[in-house]
Amino acid sequence: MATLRAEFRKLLTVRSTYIITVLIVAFVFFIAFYVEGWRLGPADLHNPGQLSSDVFGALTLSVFGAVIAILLMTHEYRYNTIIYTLTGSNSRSRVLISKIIVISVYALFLTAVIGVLSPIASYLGIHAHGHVLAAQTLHVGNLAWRSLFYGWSYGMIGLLLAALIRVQVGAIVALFVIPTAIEGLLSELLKHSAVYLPFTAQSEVIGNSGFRVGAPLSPGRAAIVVLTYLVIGWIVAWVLFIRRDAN
Amino acid sequence: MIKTDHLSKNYHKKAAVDDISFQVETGKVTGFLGPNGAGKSTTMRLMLGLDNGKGTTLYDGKNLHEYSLPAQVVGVLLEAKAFHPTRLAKRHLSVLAEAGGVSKSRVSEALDMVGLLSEAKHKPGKFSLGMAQRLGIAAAILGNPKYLILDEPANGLDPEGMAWLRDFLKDYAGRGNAVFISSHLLDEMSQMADNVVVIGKGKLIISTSMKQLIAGNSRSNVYVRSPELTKLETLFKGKKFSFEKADGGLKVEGSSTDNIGKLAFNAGIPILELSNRNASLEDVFLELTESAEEFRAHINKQKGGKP
Repeated sequence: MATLRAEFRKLLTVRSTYIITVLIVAFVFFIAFYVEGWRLGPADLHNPGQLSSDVFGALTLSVFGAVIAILLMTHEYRYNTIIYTLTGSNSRSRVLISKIIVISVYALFLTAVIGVLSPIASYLGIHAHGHVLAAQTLHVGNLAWRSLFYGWSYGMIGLLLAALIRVQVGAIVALFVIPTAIEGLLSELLKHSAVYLPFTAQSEVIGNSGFRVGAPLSPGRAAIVVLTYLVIGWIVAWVLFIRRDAN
Repeated sequence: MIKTDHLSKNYHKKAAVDDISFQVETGKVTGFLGPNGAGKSTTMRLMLGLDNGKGTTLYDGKNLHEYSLPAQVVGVLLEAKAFHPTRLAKRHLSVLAEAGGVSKSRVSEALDMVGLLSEAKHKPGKFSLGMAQRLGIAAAILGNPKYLILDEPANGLDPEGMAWLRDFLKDYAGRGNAVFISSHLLDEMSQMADNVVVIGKGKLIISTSMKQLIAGNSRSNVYVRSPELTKLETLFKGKKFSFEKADGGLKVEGSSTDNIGKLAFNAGIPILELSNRNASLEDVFLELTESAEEFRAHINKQKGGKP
């Protein structure tokens, strides 16, 4: 528990955690209120799934939850505080599990904030402009698990990249380059099978993968694909964390 | 007692630490000396389990990971600026206190002990090297550990800070703890350390007490001056002492001031000066590590060349 409390304290005692979180919340509010609310077109006003798609759209910003995860891990190596982290605990596994728990809690919190704020801000924007939104169909359970899984998995992917790469810039570049450039190019080759790539499968959980029609995976199966990558990735990261020199 | 046993570590097939074993005694300050690249930092990291290598280090007979709260067993300072630059000094220590199961009240106590209480709410990123060292020392003593492992803690400290560090560490060790400290400041080390471990090129050269190290060095001798130097020479020849003329007197090896004083008195030879001329720690260090220098500067002695 001491290690877990220390990891929470690390997350909550650096400026970047608050700056990034506040910027995400402000950006989500602005986009939802203005773009998905105030400026919403007539066709979208009659869409019964409009608020659900607002939530999924806003969730793409949970990539910054992954950035927070990268900072939590790579600050240790950048500033050599890993010396204290590893000598203060009697188990490296405990340190790693504590970081996973801390980032899970933060990522779920951030996703919940985005998921609640986005439809509220959108609704406020629509009404502020004097429009009326059609009655909405909300499958709360479905919306909740897909959103929370998406946000949580982003946090886990960020932490995983940081644990493997350990260099802050490298991990952040990997976070943004792999889903865009690398998986983008592979998608050209793999066509529909590209949905089995990690970031593409993750996007498919909330239906944002780009497979508008005939996506080969259901959200549930896409989540299993992502989990498989995470489990394999974390086994490798755990072994390396145990065996590698501290820095 | 800290007992290291056959510590070894290779980097790319080159031995950074090669089968080193020594002990750090409780109640004493043990200095850790070696030239640049000798493997001092790597040895300390191996002792703490930060690097993976061979060998074991036992703290009172147990591995560090066998203790539930290792921060209360060993305090560490391996790098002065090991902190997040924008996390306040007080919060930096709070994180470490949380991880080490240490009471929060110790944070202010530790900052006070190193003279940084007034800087508690400042960002350490703007600290000077000396202030950073003090914060590092505060982090090391936070858990009130029995053992301190400190890598070059005196770097960047001003003369007052060095005097404080010397007194503090001697006092800390004197309270039943043990301090293991590396430093290139040999004069400081000679005043501070009771025992000394010297390594070179990753190998153990010697592990002994500071007194024995200096007294046993070939450069230690007795200087004696007398108006009747010839009589004194005859006396020493008769006793088969090794001596040579130096500074208007004689430099004698292999004897003591007590012995020479008694011999001269019995022989009726007046003595004007009689003193030990011990080698300094620097002399001893240079002699011991002469063949173990990893990196050595060479002065250009070519004709007409600039050094």
